[in-house]
Amino acid sequence: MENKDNNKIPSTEESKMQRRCDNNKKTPSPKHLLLIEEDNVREEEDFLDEFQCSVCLDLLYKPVVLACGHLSCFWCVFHSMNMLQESRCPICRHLFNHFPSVCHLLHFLLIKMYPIAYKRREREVGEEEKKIGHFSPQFVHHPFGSHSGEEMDFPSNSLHFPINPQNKLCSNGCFSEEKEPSSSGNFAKAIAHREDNMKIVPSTLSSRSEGTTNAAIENCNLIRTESGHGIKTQASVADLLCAECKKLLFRPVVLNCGHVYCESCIISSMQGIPRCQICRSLHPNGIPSVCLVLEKFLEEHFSEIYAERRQVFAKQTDCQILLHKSVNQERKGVIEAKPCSSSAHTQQLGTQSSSVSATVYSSWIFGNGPEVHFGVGCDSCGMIPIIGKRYKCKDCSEEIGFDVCESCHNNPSEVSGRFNQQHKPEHNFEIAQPQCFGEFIQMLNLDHSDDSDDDGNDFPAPVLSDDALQDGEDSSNDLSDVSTSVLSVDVAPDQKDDPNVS
Amino acid sequence: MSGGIARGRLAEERKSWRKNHPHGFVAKPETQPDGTVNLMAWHCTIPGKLGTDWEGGYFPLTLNFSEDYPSKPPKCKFPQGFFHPNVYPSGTVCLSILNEDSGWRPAITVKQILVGIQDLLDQPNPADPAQTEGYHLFIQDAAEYKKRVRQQAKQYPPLV
Repeated sequence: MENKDNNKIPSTEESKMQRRCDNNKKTPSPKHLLLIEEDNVREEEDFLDEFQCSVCLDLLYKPVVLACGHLSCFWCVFHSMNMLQESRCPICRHLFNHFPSVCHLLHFLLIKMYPIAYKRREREVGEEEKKIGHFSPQFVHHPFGSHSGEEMDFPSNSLHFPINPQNKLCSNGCFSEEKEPSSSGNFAKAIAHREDNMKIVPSTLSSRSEGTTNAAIENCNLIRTESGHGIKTQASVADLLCAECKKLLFRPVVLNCGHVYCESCIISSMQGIPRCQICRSLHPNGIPSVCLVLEKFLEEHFSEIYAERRQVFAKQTDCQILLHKSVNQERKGVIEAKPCSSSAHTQQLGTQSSSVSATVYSSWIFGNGPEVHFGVGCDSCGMIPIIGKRYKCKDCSEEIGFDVCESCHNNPSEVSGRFNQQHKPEHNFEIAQPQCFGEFIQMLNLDHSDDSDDDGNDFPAPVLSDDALQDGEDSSNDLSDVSTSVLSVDVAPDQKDDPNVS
Repeated sequence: MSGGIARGRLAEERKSWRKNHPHGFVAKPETQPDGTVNLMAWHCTIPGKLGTDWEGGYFPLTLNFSEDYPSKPPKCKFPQGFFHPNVYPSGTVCLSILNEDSGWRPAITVKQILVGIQDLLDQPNPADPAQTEGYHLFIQDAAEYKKRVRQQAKQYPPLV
């Protein structure tokens, strides 16, 4: 197992100062200090490079897997999203217009493998969330992903783990109710709970109610190895099963709802639109790409079983090559059609799985397209910004609000909520009018007046004299930045087209 | 809105840079007069590639990060008046991967930026000129361009 030696850098004066400086600036304190402050000083686990988020460069926290197969933390994906049009993957710039749900399988895998590091992340992110007042979904104790039969009866917000006032006040920003006994116990319980849900370990109910660390761990069937300072928990096959075939995942793909399948299971069960077998929600925009990070992990840690799966799959596909090929072609067609997807194509895929053409976003501004709700996302399917009718919950009191798109309003699904809103099925919706584009831009400018510190440089602008002037201004005077940046939006297109480069 | 991951991420980048970085490069957060370290501004050095006219030069570059980093790219600046077709007169580097609208991805690291700019030095992009002088010489007078580049490399000798 190759380790990322996270904490093994000689702490020189400089890095110490760096940390001090970090603390002064109200950022989440570096882990080293926090760990020292902790009562039970246990060294954090080194985590695999695969599980490092390439945006925050820390351990993935509440991982979200995008349709291109890349993954990043919930907040890292959210903050890199574009609220005005489709967003781009922070790793490969692949376009997407749905913010997927957190991948539970990976979330619990990481809890299991790196309890201490993940706990730290929970604490840090929790503090940050309290500061900004928006919360990522909480599901430590929520029964998710299991009751495939009963799921339809669940209220539409079943993923929302209710925060009670006590939890909100919890000083270290951790929302789990039962964190008191011991942190590892809590995680072990979460794991036990999860496996119970996955119907892998049939009788963990008692351990769950008792909640003792030992019972939970025994039932969890964990493989534990002593290593250095802490106990390293290895992932077991039971943590990495396909929701469809219940075998070890092979070429794993993660759907918009966060559930994980073998690629072949999704392709074979797919009739038109991929639909999650657990939560019944549709997956937009065709079959997602294989999550390579997860695949690499599977290959390395379960090499024998994975090789077996590969062989079985190869045999199966021998007689299905033709079918498979046609599916692939279809899939390619979907991708190619994306930039200019016709409305016919969209209809063919159904409203909820529409691949949205880039022109939709601008056409509304000019008054000839469906309305676009800039800056507002659907809390059910994750579409952001919402295109078409927007239904806003009248009863949710959270600042961030609770909105759904038309198709999710008409077909309530139980995968829902992106910010832990306390939405109830009995809440009432109203149709909200889209914000005027101009207003929204103004709002953005006010919000981010400090970051628009560039002038024409954002635009490839071959006009030399003008740009030189602008650039010079910029370097000397930061105060005029907001106005110049607004101006440059208008100026840049002209510059681009200016033929008088020489 | 951005939950302030900029500093955390930069601290991690600093750590990984100290562990391993490409030969000849320097990247260091700025030390302020009072001795504290400002992670939001890095002073870097990019060595000219061996075997090119840029060889022997160690070009100083400043990276200025905003609170929105890594959602937004850092601003990269050579000294004012730096001679290169894709560097603005103020020194700001014009490069696709540093442009939020064309090539920037939050997954791009400081290391990748610096290596990317090193590549740009010897491979200017005439389709995206940012200064008159460098652009014109590059297009019209290859010999003079070469001379200027070599001259500039001498102007920035190794620091040690």
